[in-house]
Amino acid sequence: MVGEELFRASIGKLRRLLDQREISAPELAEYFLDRMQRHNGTLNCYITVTEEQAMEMARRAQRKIDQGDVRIWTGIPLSVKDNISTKGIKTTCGSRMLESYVPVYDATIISKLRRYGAVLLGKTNMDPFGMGNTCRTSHFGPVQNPVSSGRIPGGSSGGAAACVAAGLCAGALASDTGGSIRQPAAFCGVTGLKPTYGTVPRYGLIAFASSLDQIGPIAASAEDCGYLLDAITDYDPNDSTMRQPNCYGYTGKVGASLKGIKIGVPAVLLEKAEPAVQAAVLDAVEFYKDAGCECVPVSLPGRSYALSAYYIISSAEAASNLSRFDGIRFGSRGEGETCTEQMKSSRGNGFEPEVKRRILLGNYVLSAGYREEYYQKATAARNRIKAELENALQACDFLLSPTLPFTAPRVGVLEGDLIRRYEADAYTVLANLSGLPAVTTPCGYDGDGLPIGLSLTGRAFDEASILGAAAAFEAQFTRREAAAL
Amino acid sequence: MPEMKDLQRLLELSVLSVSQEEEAALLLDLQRAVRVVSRIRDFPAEMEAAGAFVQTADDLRADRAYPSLSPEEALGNAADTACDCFCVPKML
Repeated sequence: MVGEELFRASIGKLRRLLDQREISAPELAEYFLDRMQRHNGTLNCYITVTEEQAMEMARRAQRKIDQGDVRIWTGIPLSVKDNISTKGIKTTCGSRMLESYVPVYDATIISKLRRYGAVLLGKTNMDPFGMGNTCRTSHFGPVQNPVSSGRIPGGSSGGAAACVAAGLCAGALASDTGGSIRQPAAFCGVTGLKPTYGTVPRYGLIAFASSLDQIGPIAASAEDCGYLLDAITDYDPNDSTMRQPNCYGYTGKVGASLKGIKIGVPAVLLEKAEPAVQAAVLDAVEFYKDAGCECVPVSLPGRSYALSAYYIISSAEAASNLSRFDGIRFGSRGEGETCTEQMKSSRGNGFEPEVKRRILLGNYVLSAGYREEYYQKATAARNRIKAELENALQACDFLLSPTLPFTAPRVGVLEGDLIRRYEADAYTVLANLSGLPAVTTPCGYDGDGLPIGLSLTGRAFDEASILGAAAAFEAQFTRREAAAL
Repeated sequence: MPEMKDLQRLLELSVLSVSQEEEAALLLDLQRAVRVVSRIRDFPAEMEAAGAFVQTADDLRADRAYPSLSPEEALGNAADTACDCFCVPKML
């Protein structure tokens, strides 16, 4: 039975409805496709809607359900960020360079989801190649924040966060290199998880910065993020950075007691936040204390180098990774008398301005004479930051902080100011530099009704603990509906 | 701070052609970006070990050939092809 409120249902509830035959997988897919048809024109969170494939996948899922061959995500309608390769479905990275690129293979996570009957509704909008934090720079147009139309949704996974917040899918798969899952999730008032580096196979993820990139979920709750992480974690011989083969049970600590847990609160991250953000995060600290946790201040002196280290390392890796786009084997092709001229023209016309800036910055910090001054110092700073966070997490079970020091900025504020735009990543890059898992969940609203994100950073491969702690907070927190729909 | 000649060298290294107006804008942006990352120059790197962050799995794939793409699949996204090959302008 299809109800009007299905878009608010958790993945667990949708599972029950499917298993009890109150709704069929094709009916559920149709329901979300219908919502997409009504709202995607305004929000622009999907670049490609895969209606026919989604219905075919839903019919296959229903056959699995009828045969009793069911995983939690069988028949569940999901969206996929447009930098994750999907065989036979356009994968554009939000860029003109790949506007007509159709992969000939599936990313490992897509193969697994297909095998077990997830329903892929479409590919979500993003800043080109994951480089950006506004989701206003896509070749396919800007994404609107469903919470407030005058605010940016954040990026680079702005399409994924917006479609979850607007109920245009039951969950989303995205990627996070410097905060690309957590920042838009916080701005759109939903839950997002960057797993530990090496947890999710990245084969088929179009690379931005290989030592930082990680695939993760965005969903309506921490429990749903856990279900999605279960769905995409698997050992993959095609990704040599996989560290934890066959680890399942990420929802195992949802509902568990928090008594005796020790939480570290980095004072510097609180002090620099806007007053409304500080107040909401301090309320969350009180919640955890009431639940029996001990909260202690922690110091992270290396943090002041994090932003520089991130931009140096990510840009250097991007300059290398994006050298494959030459307009010959794939990608948009420019004009030129010689092969080199043609490649220059292909890349000059195909890449968006931010992509060019990062490639140039990457080659600058790797140039002779600057490598020692920038790149080597950045890798050393990264090692210090990682060590400081790991030391803090030896004494504490997890770290608690604001996801960002502010709520979603007005459209136009960050887009025209490169320095502010880069500085906006200062909080989220810590988890990427250290490889540690971090989850964001809404913990309050500012005076304009904009959601405030609470970040919990855990020990390596201990996603279950931070998801459990986030779920405990969510259980007593009332979320507001996305108002701009 | 990078100057115009540095930018032009970087554009060569990056295999990018841009218009003159874009070149001027990119120079300003590159200078701003370098300002953001210059904080790292104060980092006392001699106290720390630099090195690769990524550790690869101990159990790497066997080094042998696997079935790969057909020529049709491999050429499917190319702008210009002929006789199962990618087409490029004359090199010589």
